[in-house]
Amino acid sequence: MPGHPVLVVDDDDAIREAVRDLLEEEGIPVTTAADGADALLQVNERPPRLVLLDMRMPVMDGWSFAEALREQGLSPPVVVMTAAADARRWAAEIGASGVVAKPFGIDELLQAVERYSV
Amino acid sequence: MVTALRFARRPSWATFDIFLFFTAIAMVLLAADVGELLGIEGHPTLRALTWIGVTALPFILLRLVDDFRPQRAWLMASASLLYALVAVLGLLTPQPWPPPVLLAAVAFFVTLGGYASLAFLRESLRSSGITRRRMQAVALGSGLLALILLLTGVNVVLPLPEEARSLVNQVLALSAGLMYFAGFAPPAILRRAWQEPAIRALLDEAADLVQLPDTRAIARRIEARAVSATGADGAAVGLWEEPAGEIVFRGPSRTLRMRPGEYIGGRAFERQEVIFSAHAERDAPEHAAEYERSGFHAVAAAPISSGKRRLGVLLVYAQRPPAFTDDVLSLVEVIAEQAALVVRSHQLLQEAARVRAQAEVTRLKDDFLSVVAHDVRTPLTTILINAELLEQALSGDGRNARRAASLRTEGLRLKQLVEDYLDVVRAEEGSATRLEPHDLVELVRDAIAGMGPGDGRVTVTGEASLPGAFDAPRIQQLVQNLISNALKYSASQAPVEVRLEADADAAVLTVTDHGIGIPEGDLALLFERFHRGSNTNDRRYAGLGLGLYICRQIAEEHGGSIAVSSRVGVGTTFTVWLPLAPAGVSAAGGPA
Repeated sequence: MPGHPVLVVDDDDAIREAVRDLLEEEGIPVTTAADGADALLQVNERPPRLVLLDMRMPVMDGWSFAEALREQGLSPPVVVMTAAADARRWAAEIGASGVVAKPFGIDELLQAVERYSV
Repeated sequence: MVTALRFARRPSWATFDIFLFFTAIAMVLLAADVGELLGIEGHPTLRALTWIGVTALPFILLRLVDDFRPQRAWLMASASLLYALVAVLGLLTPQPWPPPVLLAAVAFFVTLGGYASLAFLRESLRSSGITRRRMQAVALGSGLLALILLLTGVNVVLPLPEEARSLVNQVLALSAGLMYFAGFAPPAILRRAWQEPAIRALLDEAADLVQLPDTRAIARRIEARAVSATGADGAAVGLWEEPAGEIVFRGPSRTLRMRPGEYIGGRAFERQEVIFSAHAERDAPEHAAEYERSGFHAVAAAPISSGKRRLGVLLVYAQRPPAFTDDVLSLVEVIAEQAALVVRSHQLLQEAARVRAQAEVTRLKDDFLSVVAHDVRTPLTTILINAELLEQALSGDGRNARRAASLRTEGLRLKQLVEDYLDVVRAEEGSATRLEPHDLVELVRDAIAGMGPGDGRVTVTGEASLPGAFDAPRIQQLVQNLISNALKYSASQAPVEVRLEADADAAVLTVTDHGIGIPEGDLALLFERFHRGSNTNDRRYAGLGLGLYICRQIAEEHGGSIAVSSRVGVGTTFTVWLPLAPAGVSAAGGPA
């Protein structure tokens, strides 16, 4: 879906901005959210091509966000983006398409975005 | 007969007197029966025998009282003298005696019997458990005997109808006989019934005992139970302490230690049998002084053992041997068995609690580590992205591009250090290896793919499939560590060969490079923590010296091993053996 943004959901400001920078360098539009609740509003407003999702966040964490998506019948592709050792297990738990473990390189992230975006 | 057997089995004054007592009764009964049978009732010999027997009964009773609780010497002496006098007088002088003499004799015997009865009653109040029941029976029997004698005396003054007197006498005599039998030679069924309350109390208590905080508290309760069940003066539980090789009695005020074979208790422990000593100072002469000083001469000791596991010993001691040794020994044995059960259960519970606490500590450390890992990786993510973006942006600008590149490589180095460090800490904390069925060849290929787009330097040859039980992330880490080492320490285009083969019962993984090699002096310490080759101090080769240490740990976690061969300037080969069916693990079902 060219024109649709990648939604970056992370409670860490610096990471949100860094990821926005690197994606915009590649000409990919980006929207950001600091927690699952904000992200949910944005998904409803404007379906993203992909959600890059941190798991441990205040207000609404990654698990609740994924559950809310399911309840609302929304199914944007989700790539889990976490610094935790359990990245793969968590991704499996919420039925995510892929995983990028922090810290990641630019290539790694771009590959994931390319591969899982709709 | 029964009492004769008992005496023969366990000779003591008490058993002898009990035997004597029943002999006297048997003699009187036999004299009457034989007389009736032969039609020679009233024959002088029979009468003499009957007389001796009847008059002997109260006297033997007094002797029994003396056996259980020593009486004053003058009392015993004068009673013996009087008995002898009455018996001889009875034999020598014509019967019947004039009423006053007869009354005097009867009064003497009533006094003896009454005294014995009271003495046994007092003794029963002092004792507990089965001893108390037996003493009560004996006291009642003695009371009945005194009553018979009293009636004989009353009859002299106030003659009763012959039939009534005979009936009352027979009933009383039968009752007294039964009481004596129950007291002095109880049949097994009665014995068990009397022991039951003590054993039941012990069983009821056992479940609570297990929950007590420490073995010392358990020992106190078992000791109290042993004292109340046996009526002994004291009891002590000593527990085996393996490291010291000693049985340790931790009393409220002092601690006593004995080695197996020392004292009565040490012997019971060594021989694993119940031992009774009526004279400990005689049976354990090397410790006679201590037994004398304590005042406890009679000691019963039973090993506290659970199966083949020796846990300790139970001692029950008293100033004098118990009235009924067999009862005490069987109780001591039962209590020791219960104690073994309680102590062993307590040990197992403690063990389980320790393991749980250990698991909890490990879990907390794991939690802490993952939080630390998370918190370090998060800022690193931003640093690396920005460094890489900078590097791209500045690619035309020589000096600044180098600075940006340096930012990125140092960031990557920091990342690697953190990951290595966390790996080592986790491995040393003993995070469990999770073995699951996997194909080693697939794991190796995935690991290589996970290292990012290679430039064709790494080739994989050998077996197409090697199924086994592996911890996938750990194996991939091992493979990645070895390959990244191989790539790092060889020229930028030099190939790295990975080969997978099957040995008899192990998979053999080799990683070969054609790089700088490892000096011979470094080989021995290569797999040690923080060891780095002496030719790698160059900044090109960043590292903490943990990579190969982690590889060795991963190999060993799988029950395998790792080895290296190398020549400086030629290259290095690492060989890893991983069992294909480690003990206790089936390839299909994970840990058994």
